[in-house]
Amino acid sequence: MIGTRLIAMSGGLSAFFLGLALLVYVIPNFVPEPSYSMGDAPGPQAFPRVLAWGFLILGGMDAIAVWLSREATTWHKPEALGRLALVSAILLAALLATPYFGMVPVGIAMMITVTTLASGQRLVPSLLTAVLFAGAIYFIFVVVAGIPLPMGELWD
Amino acid sequence: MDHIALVLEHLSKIELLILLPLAVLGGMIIGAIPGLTSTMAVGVLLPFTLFLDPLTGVLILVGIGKGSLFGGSISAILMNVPGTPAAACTVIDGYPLAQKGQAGRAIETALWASFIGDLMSVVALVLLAGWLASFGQKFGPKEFFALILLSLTVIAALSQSGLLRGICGGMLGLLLGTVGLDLVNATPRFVFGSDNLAEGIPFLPLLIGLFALPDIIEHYMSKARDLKPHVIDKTRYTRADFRKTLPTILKGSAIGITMGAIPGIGATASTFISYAEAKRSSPDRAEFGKGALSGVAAAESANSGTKAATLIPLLALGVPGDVITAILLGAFYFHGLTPGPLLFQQNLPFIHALYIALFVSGFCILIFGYALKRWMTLIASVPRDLLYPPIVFLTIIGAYALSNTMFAVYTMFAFGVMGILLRRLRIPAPTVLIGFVLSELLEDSLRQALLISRGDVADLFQSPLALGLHAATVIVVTTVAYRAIRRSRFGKVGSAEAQE
Repeated sequence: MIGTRLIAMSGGLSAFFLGLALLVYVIPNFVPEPSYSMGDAPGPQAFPRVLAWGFLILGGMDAIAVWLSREATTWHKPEALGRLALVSAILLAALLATPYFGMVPVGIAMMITVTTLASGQRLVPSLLTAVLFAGAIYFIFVVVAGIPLPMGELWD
Repeated sequence: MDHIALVLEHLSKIELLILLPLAVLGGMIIGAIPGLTSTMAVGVLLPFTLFLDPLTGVLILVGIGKGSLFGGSISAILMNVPGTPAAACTVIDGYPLAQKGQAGRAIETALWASFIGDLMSVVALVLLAGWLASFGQKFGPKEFFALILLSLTVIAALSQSGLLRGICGGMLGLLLGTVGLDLVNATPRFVFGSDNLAEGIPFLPLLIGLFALPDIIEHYMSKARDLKPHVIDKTRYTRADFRKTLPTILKGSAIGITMGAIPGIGATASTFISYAEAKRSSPDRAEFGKGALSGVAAAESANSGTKAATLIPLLALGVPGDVITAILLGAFYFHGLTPGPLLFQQNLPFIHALYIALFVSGFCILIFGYALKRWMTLIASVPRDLLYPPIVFLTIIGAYALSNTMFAVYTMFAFGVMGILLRRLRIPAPTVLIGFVLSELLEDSLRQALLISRGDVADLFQSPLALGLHAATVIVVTTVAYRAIRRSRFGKVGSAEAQE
């Protein structure tokens, strides 16, 4: 029960800790104040600081409100998380492979893999859809519009 | 005379004449397929419109949005699944009509209600936007700051996740908008040593990542099965039906226009208000929920009535009221146009050409609606499993094409992950996007106002207009918070009584 309530509180807690991280570490280190002054106008840190305080206060209020309301929520089932991991792995692999193999070949491979592995569709319609679509995209971008797509280091 | 020539010059471009009807048609098809949202379509296609002239680019996006609003009713009627959130109310009476073998009649009712709602909405836009823009000329930095704050608050307050998370989402968008070089001091903010981030977070990858990718990933996670739609029959929407539903359509359109012109309320809420009003005032209220034509007419006229009305605050003041208008604001900026009073002073022929094209796009809905009628069953049954992978590929190409760098693609995937996390944390992504789009304007207005007042915060409340807008913000927050507290108290009382 505590676990599910913590999940319900995660939105508020995330906002709270984001505000805290911004105030304590991120803003002081990654938003430098200029060495010169612009009169009485607020500096570059002012607006992010206001937002950080907002996250801290509203996130804290939200977390407390959820705790008091005894709202509980559930996470996804393991099989759904498995499918999430599978699709994410395919997309990540496509992202990493694009500079080496080129955008169009990787796109075709990605479309076929997602359609067959994640959706369980048959290979032939997946292959047809992927090749036709990638061909159309290549034609529109490279041939008609003259926009170069990454062709891949492997083919250079 | 010169003015008319300039308007005609805008309208006579061949790509506009071809692409506007295609955009409406595409929007209708997208809306008809459950799981493909207009936000996803507009986001994915935005990069490709940036290579066109401003009017065509903006109108393609508007056309897709308009077409998808009607398209959403097709799957609502044929499959009991709203194609878009705004069609949620159409399901209530549309699907029972299809079950009774009157799907054709229900679709034609939705079509005429959408057409009339859309035309009335464009008339309202023409009448009100110019007036509001001239009023907007009175706005200085502190009034703009108060107006944007009010708009963000209303949008956050009306989000389904509640006031606190809605505001947190808006603030996250505002924070993301501060990344890059500070406009006043030119000092880097949150760039973490990256040259790419010095120019700020690119709008398009953020948009596509937040709205297109999470929908697709969620589809694979839930592994939802495609439903089989009803077949369109030969029943028609007769003149007698038209006479009977016209008062409901007119009332629904008026509700849609009013709700659309207020930032944050949007099409979905307006359909429920319109439906409730139609049911309350109907002598046949027992028919509602069992297949009342007036139920379909009320919902569809209201959601189409919002469409052009959402452009009123956008064009006149530069304030977007929903995700689609936030995307349109981004498109305007890309084309070097800044919506607001100045747009009416400097680009009036553009505005008038936009009005005319919006009228024309309304007729496109009617024409394509009838032309597509016999194909609707086929369109609604397109398997999403085959559609989503090409959409992912299109998002990658779209993100890449804008800057010709892989950085945009990586950014898009990073925001895709953020979009999924936001859904799990129940922080509404639309408020993040609207906050991001308005961030620069809000911070600039605040800093300018404080520079003028020499750092005196009290001066922000000195003008009557700014004070009125701030008061409205306080009223919105107080009302929503009070209702939330009351609901939770009554909820507890209710559950305690139930236990007893």
